[in-house]
Parts: sequence; structure tokens; C-alpha cells
Amino acid sequence: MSSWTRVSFDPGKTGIEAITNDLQKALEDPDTFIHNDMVVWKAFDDIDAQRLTDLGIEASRALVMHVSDTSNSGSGRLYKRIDSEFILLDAMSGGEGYFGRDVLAYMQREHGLVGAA
Amino acid sequence: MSRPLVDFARRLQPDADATTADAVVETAATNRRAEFESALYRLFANLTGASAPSVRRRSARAVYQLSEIVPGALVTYGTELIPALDDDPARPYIAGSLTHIVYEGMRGETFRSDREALVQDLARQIGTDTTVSAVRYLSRIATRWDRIVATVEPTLVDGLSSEDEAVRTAAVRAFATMWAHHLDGTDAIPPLLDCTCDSSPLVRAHAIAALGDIAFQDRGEEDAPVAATPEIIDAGTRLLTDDDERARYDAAACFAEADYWVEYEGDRCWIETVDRNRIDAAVDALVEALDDPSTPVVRQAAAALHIYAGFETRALIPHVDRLVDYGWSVQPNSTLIQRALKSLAADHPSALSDHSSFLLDRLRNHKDATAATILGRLAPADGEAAHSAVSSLTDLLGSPKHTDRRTAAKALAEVHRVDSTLVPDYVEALTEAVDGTDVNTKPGMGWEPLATLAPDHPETATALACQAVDRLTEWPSPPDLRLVYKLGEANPHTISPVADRLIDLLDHDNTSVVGAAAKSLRGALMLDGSVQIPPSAAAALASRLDDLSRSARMDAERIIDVVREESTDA
Repeated sequence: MSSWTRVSFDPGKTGIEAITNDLQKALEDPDTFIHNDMVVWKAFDDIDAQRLTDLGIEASRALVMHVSDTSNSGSGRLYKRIDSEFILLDAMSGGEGYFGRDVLAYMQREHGLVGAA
Repeated sequence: MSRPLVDFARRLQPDADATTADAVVETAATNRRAEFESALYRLFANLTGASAPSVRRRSARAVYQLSEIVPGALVTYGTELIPALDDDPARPYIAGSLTHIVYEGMRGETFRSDREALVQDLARQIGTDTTVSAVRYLSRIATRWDRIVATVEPTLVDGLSSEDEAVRTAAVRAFATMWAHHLDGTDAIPPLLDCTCDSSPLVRAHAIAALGDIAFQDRGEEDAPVAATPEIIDAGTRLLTDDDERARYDAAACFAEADYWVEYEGDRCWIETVDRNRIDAAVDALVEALDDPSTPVVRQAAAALHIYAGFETRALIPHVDRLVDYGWSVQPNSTLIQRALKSLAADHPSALSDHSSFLLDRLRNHKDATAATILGRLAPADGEAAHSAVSSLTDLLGSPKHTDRRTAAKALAEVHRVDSTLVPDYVEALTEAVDGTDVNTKPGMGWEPLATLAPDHPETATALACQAVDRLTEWPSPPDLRLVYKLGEANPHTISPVADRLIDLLDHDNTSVVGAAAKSLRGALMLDGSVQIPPSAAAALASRLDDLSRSARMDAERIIDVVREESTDA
């Protein structure tokens, strides 16, 4: 029984390497990987717009997925960076048994965010 | 520049500043409702009426900041905001405002009746000049994990056939984001099928996602398969070659999620309710999709083929060459394709005969466990390949990886079952592999090798099973030994000594060992008369019940019941 948070950064015009470097500077030994041209950070705390802004990551968008295998569900919040600030753009609460797959599919359809983890 | 929220607060209280604006707004939203609403409408007027984009953008930012502070106070104004979604400068802030309103402003059971009233009110607006805004707002509310929008399902069904693309998009989004068990869906299926041919790629993508949910997921045993499943399969197959990446992804995802096994009147959904030609066409298209330029589409297609192979594998046969090539390349989800091929080898061994040389090479030079499994399964169709594999499989029994040893043992068992003369050293090699000191060795290496040995080599099978039982105490979390039942099923004369050892463990100091022994014996009890548990052992078990895990306790209670019934009968 556990839950986890994944933050997929869409680099936009900023390169993947720069995003990874930003994360390394902002956090102590962050657990990251590259997935479909996005930088994914395995976060362990609550992530909201203010926290993303404070990190100073120059990504164009960030999808924060929170998944729980206790409730077999996942939810996602999509943030967009405007004028150095992340703002909430869209959200979806996923259904039981999907572990966020439904949310990722929705974000892809609505926002072209293909390949988030 | 001051925060846009401060400007708004000054309409309510002229001396408001950055430090007091939040409190001014919160107070007004609660206690000065008329003034708050008046200020809101002036803000909305700028949001949609101002000619300068900068003014519209600043107004949108003010709405966003308001939605962070008093989202609940904005719930009834959602339709006023919707038109600004079509204005580039305002769009992101208004989208975010609506998200705050839907997720924060509508939170909690306290406001459930208000939300229900809002949804009903929005449904009543359909057919008026605010139709578009009402449906778009409904579709955003539908992204919540909430049944509320399902109460206006007929309205949304009507929206699917609207001539206005914005209405169709919003309605189909609602169906794609609400789950099959929130909706009846029956009336929506025909218009959703029409939507899979819509000129808008977003509508097509949402439509196939919704249809996939309705047809394939969350179905209870009492539910009949969706009658339109064949048409939904056709739509998914067609959209696998759509121009739009999102439509192709959702078509592949639709098949990838089709993994439930519920039986209804003997028919397994969905494979057994769809004719072979349709299945063949879908599988053909999924294999083609492995070459899609989009990696996420490829990933879903591979997952879908793996799911299909869980039901049957017949339609994979014409594609073996491509699947072998894909499975052993660096490709998304290639291991799922390998698993599909393992299923294919079990169902249709001859289908992979042409690849035996490649598989032998993989086994010999890479100790490839998947190749080992497939070669074992090829034995009925290709004895020569199986014979060539025996020496490498026997070598693999000495692997330091317990998963390799188990795979090799199972593969050798498959070959032994077909022709025991092909594996003359099987018994000795298996005994050596089991007789290790590595506690990570799966006890008994799975039931297949021992069950295969049981008819012709009962003493060896019994000895190996006894070793597995003796090693239960070495495990940090002892597993239950399903092999006891399988062994007894293959040869009932093999398990009495095994059961005696398990009975001895019923009063072991370690509760986990007691639980594992009880679970293992529970399987043995299903073999009528083969195992006798003395009342003293049942009594010892009864005294430990409270210490056992829930599942172990259930098995222990069943054992105690059986012993009690036998005592009564005697």
C-alpha cells in the first residue's frame, strides 16, 4: 500500500538537460529520469503551483501526477509557466483501477502532453 | 505593478492594499454578497469586453487570484467565464480559475446539494443561447471523480450530435472522463460511434476513449457485454491509422485496457463476443502500429497485443516474424511482446518453429529466460529444437539467479513431459539445483517440474518437495506451497511425507511459518483422503489463530473445520 508523486516537466523551448540541471540545483539529489522527451521527477512531498514556482524550473509546463495503490486511483494537475510563475491550468481525478493512466490519456488529448509518466 | 486582485479588492474597499486584499475579498464574498457580485460583473465585463488584450489578460489574472481565495463563491459564475477560454490572453488564467472552482469550490459533501442544483441548472440551459457555455462547464465538472454530472446524462447524449463543434467537443469530453459505471452509456454509444468519424481529431480521440471505457472496463459479473462491441472494435481499428496522434493513441489505449475476464453466460468479454475477422483486423492494425512514428502509440500497441495474448493468440500467428523482431529489439514494451510470444508458444508451438535457431542462440549465448521458456513449449512441435536446448537449459539450472533456475526447470519439465528420453539427466540436474543453500531459491522451483516427475519418479519428487518444506523456515516471508496440491494431483502417493512435515510446522515458533504451512496444507486437503491431519495438530493450530494473517487464518479455520467434521464422522 503506497502512493507516489511524479512531476513531468515539459521542457518547451528549454532543453531537457537544462531542466535536469535546474532540478539538481533546486533539490538535493532529486530522483529523475527522462521519459519521452520529458524530465520526470519522483517527488515525495506535496507539489502545487507555488512550490513549482519556487523551484525555479524553466519548463513550459509541469504535470503533477499523484497515484495511490491503496485506492487504485490517480489524479493529475497540469501547470503552465507564465512570466516565471506556474499557474494551475487543468486537472482530472482518475477512476479506480487506472493508477493515473486515464488522467495521462486525458492530458494528452486535451493538451497534447504526449509521453508524460 | 500591483496584483490584479488588489484592484478588485479596492472596488469593495478603497483603502485595500496588498496586505489586506485577500481578507477584504473573503469577507465580501461571505458577508457583502451583492457588492461582491457587482464587482465581479464589472470584472467580467472587462474580461470579455475590453478591446486591449492587456486589460483582458489582467482581468483574467484577477479572476484566477480570486479563484485561489474564494473558489466556492465563484461556482455559480462558471458559464460567465467560459467564453474567455477562447481568448488567447485570458485562456490559461480562466482555465485555471475554472479548475480551482471545480476542484476547490465544489469540494466537500456540504455543498453537494448546491452542486447538484448547479448541474441541473446547467442542463436546463441546453437549447438556450448559453448552451455552449453550459455544456463546456458541465464537461469540466465531469473531470471530477464525482457522479454528479451523470444525473444529466441524456442532455450530454444530445450534445454529442450537436451541429456546434464546441458542444460536441464538450459533450464527448464528459463521456471520456466519466467512468463506465457512472453512466448507463447505452444511448450514448450510437452518437459516440458517429463521433469517431468527426472532422475534429479531439472529438475522435475523446470518442474512442469513451467507447473503450464503456465497452471494456469496470464490468461486473451481472453485466451483459455491450451489444455494440463489434462496432467499437471496428472504430478502434480504424482510428489506429488516424492522421492524429491523439486518436491513434486512444485507439491503442482502448485495446490495451481491454483486459477484464468477466464471464457472462459462458462468453468471455470481449474476444468471444466479436467475430474472428474483426479480431484479425484489430490485431493486424495493432501490429502495424508497432511501426507508428509516435513512441507513446507504439508503447500502447505493444501493451494491447500483450493483453490480447492473454485471451487467445491465434491472430498473432501471421505476425510471428515481426513480433520476434520487435520482442528482441530495443523498443517500447518489447518485454510485453516477448510475453505475448510465450503465450503463443504455449497455444500454438509450431508457430515459432521457424525461429528455433534464433531462440537457441539467445539461450546459449545470452542465457535468455524467455527463449528458454519458448523452447520448452516448442517441444511438442519441434523435438529437435527442444533436444538441442536441453544442454543449455541444464546449464541454466546452475544460474545464480533463482528466476533463471526456475525458468530452466519449468522448460525442462515441458520437454520431459513430451519425451523423457530427451532429458536423461533431468532428475539429477534438478535435484542439484534445488539442493542449494540460497534461501532465494523458490522452494520446489515451482510445481511444474515436480508434477512432471511425480508419475515416473515419485520418490525424487517427494524428496524435492520435502526439501522445499524444510526450507520454509529459512524464508523471511515464507510462501505457501501450491506445489503440494499439484504434486498430489499428479500422483497422490507422493504427498504423505510432505504433508507430515507441514503438519509438524503447525506449532512452529514463527507465526509466518505456521501460516505458510496452513495455507499449503489447505491445498492438500482438497485432495480427498490423501492427507490426514491429527486432531492434536488442529488444536495447536486453533491456539494460534489470532496471530495469523487474515488469509492464513481463513485457511487455518477451514483445516480445523475439516478435522472436526472427520472426528464427528468417525
